[in-house]
Amino acid sequence: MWGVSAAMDLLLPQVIARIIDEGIIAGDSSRLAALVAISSVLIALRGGAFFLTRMTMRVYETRVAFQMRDDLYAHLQRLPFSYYDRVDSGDLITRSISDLNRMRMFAGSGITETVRIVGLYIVILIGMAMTSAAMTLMVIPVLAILATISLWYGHVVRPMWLRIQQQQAALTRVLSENLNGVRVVKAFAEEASELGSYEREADDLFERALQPARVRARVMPGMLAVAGLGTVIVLGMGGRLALEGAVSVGVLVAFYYYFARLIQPTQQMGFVIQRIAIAIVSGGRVFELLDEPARIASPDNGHTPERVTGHVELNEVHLAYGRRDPVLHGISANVSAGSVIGIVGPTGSGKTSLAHLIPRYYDTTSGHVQLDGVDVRDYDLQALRRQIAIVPQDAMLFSDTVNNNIAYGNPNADTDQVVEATRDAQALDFISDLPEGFETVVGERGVGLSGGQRQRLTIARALLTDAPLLLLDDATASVDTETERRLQNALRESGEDRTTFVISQRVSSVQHADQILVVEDGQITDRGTHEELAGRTGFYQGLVERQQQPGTHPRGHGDASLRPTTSRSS
Amino acid sequence: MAVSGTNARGTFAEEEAEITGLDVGVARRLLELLTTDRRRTTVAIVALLVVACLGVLQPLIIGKALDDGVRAADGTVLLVAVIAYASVTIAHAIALGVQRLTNAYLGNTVLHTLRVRIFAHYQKLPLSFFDRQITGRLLSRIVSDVESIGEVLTEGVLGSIADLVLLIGILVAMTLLSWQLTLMCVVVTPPLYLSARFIAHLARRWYRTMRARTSTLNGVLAESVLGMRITQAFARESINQDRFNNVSRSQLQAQLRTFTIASAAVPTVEVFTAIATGLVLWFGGSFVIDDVGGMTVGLVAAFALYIERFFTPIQELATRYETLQSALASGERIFEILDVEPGIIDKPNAHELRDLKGEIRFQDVNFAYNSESPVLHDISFHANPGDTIALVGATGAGKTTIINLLFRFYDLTSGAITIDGHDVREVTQRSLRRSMALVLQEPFLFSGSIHDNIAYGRKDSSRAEVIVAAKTVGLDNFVQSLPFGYDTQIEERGGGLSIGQRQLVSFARALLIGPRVLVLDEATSAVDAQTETEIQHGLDRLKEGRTSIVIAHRLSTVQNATLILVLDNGRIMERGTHTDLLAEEGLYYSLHRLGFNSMDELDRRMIQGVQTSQPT
Repeated sequence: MWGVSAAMDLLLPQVIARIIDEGIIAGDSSRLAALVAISSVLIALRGGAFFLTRMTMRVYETRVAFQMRDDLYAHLQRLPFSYYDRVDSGDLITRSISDLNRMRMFAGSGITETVRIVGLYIVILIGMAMTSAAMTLMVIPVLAILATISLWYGHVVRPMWLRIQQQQAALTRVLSENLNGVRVVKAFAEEASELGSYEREADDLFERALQPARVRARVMPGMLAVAGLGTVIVLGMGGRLALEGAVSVGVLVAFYYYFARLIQPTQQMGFVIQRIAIAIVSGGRVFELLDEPARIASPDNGHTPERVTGHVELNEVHLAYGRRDPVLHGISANVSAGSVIGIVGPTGSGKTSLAHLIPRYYDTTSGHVQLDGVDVRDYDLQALRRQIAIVPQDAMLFSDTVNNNIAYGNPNADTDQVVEATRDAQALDFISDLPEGFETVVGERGVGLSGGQRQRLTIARALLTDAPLLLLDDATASVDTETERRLQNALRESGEDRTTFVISQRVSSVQHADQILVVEDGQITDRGTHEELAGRTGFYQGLVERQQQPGTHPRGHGDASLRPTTSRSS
Repeated sequence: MAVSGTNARGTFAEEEAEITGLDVGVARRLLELLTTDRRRTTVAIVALLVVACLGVLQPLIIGKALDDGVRAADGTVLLVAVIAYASVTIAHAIALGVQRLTNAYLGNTVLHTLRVRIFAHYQKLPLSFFDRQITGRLLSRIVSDVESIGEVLTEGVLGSIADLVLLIGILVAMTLLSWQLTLMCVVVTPPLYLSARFIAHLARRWYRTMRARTSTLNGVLAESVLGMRITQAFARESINQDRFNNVSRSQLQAQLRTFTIASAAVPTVEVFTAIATGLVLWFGGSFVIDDVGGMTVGLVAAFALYIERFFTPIQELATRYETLQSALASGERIFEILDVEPGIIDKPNAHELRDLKGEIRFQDVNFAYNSESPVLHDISFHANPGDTIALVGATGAGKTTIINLLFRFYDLTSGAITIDGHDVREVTQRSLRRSMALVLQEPFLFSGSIHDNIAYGRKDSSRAEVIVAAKTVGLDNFVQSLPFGYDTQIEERGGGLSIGQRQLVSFARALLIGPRVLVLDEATSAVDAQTETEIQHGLDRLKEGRTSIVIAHRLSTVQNATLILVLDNGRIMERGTHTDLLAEEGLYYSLHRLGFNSMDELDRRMIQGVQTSQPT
């Protein structure tokens, strides 16, 4: 198609030269009619060819972007937790949406235009040489100067665009914090100062955005002036040649026509280079994301068990996040299938990190984690994670119905199963009270529900997967003790063949565990049952004393109608 | 039960419904914004007029050079023409430079104005607005919508005006040269215009579909990123990938369709250009041969050049259509936000709340978020300076609403709330809010240093003042142990600090503004024993000598409260001190006997169970 379009650009001035020389000046009406008809067809063909090329390019660029988007999404899903810990999610979203889109738009149009302009230059140079070699030699230096200016411009503008994009990210950060912290902003009546700091960043962005415009405003007229100089050369020199009779009027017009055809692309050049510069900057950000290695990958031919028994063994496990201080040093533990393990310890002692090693959210720095006697790294990653259900600290829900949130890990579950999981999670009552029950949409990050309600939904979500391993990470922190007790009963009844890890700060959450691990400063400092640990000096005893002061927890004298089972504790 | 993928469809329908009607009002308002800087607008217009006139002059000079110079074999005329052409070209280039720079300046000013205006508007909107909106969407209003307007304004709108002026200029010049040939060009204009309109009409519909689908796609992507840990934990990647591919594919289809239709504008213009060129060359050539109306070779050549310049702006206008559409759609969404009335505004004669003692009175307060379902019924209570009021009750009982009303985040439906006898609606919101401190259950910290966070409510605080506040709540030791002390940077949303430490920072932040009233939503999240003690200690220091209103989860808080209000369903069910209420053996007594760690989590049925089991 380029060929057709370019050939038209090549032929058209030749036809016009003939129209003038052989038609008009020679006074030949029939020749004039024939040539005019040819020129009209050529113009129409040029339009059609241009359209088809442009369409092809656009379809191509859109499809490439579509493919990249899918690849990007697949890649995002493979990136490990450590990556999400490190990178701001807003930045990830910006990269996968705006940067990808800019890359498509700017790279697509940039490349199309570049090809068109370069093609046009070549064709027109050929056309000029065919028309008049002498005149062509005169305009070549002009074209060389134009090309040099263009390249220089691109070189200067690129870093400016990078700085603009960085500043844009900074501005978005201020905005995002302002929106997320709107309650604090309003409560402290700090709206004015918030606006002030946003305005400062916006002013900076404004200044940076003007920089390439300033350069362009200087460079582009320069380029036009140089191009104009070319026309002057054509007119002056060509005119003299025509006066001397060396070339005909038609040839002069054709030559001028060729040159005029170059002015618009030359004008576009600055714009195109700017677009390509933007595409390179955005593309760089997208590729940076795509090149991020998926450090935790599934092994080839990984182990894919139907259902594990749930026997977990940790052997001399060490873990450090990146280059930071290690969070776990030499953890060893043997958890038999079907047991309940409590993990307690001060905030930041490494309890969650320990649990995250089993589903391979992180890989150990050294040591082994085994599930049913097989190293977790030898399992197929998906198969491994399907064996483990987690209730994370952060009760994240999706903007979707209650039902779909619960069925997140088991979309094929039927209504009965969903209801059962919900009942076990002690969430059935409050869901029934919601305006549309299971079909109620819970907003972004579960807005509209209390912390405890969100936690119970995430517990139901985990239970519905019926996984042989359950990790409860401070999952009942916002749930009252009575509900927690009923939840524990339900878990006990429904899960004889389930291994459960309970991470908590609360004695009531772990006291019935078969074994309690006390984790302090990345090490297991004590282990045993509630009775054993409560009986000896240490962190756990302190915890028991603080949480079970007489009067705080009325034990054993509860309202009989509401507490059908008597307390089992010491 | 069909549970997979309905989310995508649900959002989709919503987005499709969102895209109706696009009025010229949006375009007018954008244009108004663009022209607020009168001086620069004038410069831009003058520059573009100059550019257009000089652009029109160029073919004329060429025509003269051909006829009077080359054909008449007059070297002097040729030289003059060449010099004239050179001067015109340079002047044209300079004017164009000025025009471009002014355009860029004006365009970026609009972006800046819009960004700041939206942000400022967000600051004015009431909390009720943010409760309904998804943060991501509010964000994209400023980020992508403003940006999408950007390019069009800097390149498109002013460019289109320039094209239009050029079009008129050329038309005038052509008419002056030869009205007959001009007629040839004008003849093809109505069908060209009509076809362009038709294409535009087709493109518009698809354009909107594309926008809507793009927006859905972005929503799915954003939520996927935010929920990635859950997705991986539940090994749901393949389902999500399928869902994403579906949404992505439907967006692709809309995009391709839109492009195809919009691109049809280009060949349409070309076909008409070809027809017009043919007509001009044929008639012009015939006129020269037959010597009609003083037609010359130079004139025909000049006309042929004009036709290029005549149809190029039309073509540009046609291709700019889609970007213009996108700018208008974005503008529409932006103005939609800017047009939301700030719900709560200060009365014109509102006075400053000063030298507060901290006496609070709720008098028969009724409140409904919307007219149908009242949330609070006849709430009355009184707190003397220094009192602690504990609010106790299930989720949805109305505790948070009471706090929202006290801060005037919402306006009450009937009744009155007074502080030191001043109705909260009679004082400025700023002075009202600054005389009280709100401590939230989940402390929100801003990125910046620890110092900046503590000094959030009083930016001019000295380091010494910040340290005093930190010491008071028991945060100083921890901060001093950090490598950079108070200059340690806090990551986004307080990452890097434990929950307890974040709480303490928020206490110090509250303390520093020296409030007379403390409003506190006690944290329910359990922390380890030591942190618990630290928080409790910090809290006690914070409450010292202040009137406190506390959504209570801790037994110690309710035990020490001056007055406990037990709320259910928006009504005060019981009131009194801990001892009074226990002696009453009512709802509070039963709740207490159940051993609450966090009373708000007891669900309603249970409370009703307790109520019915009570002897009346």
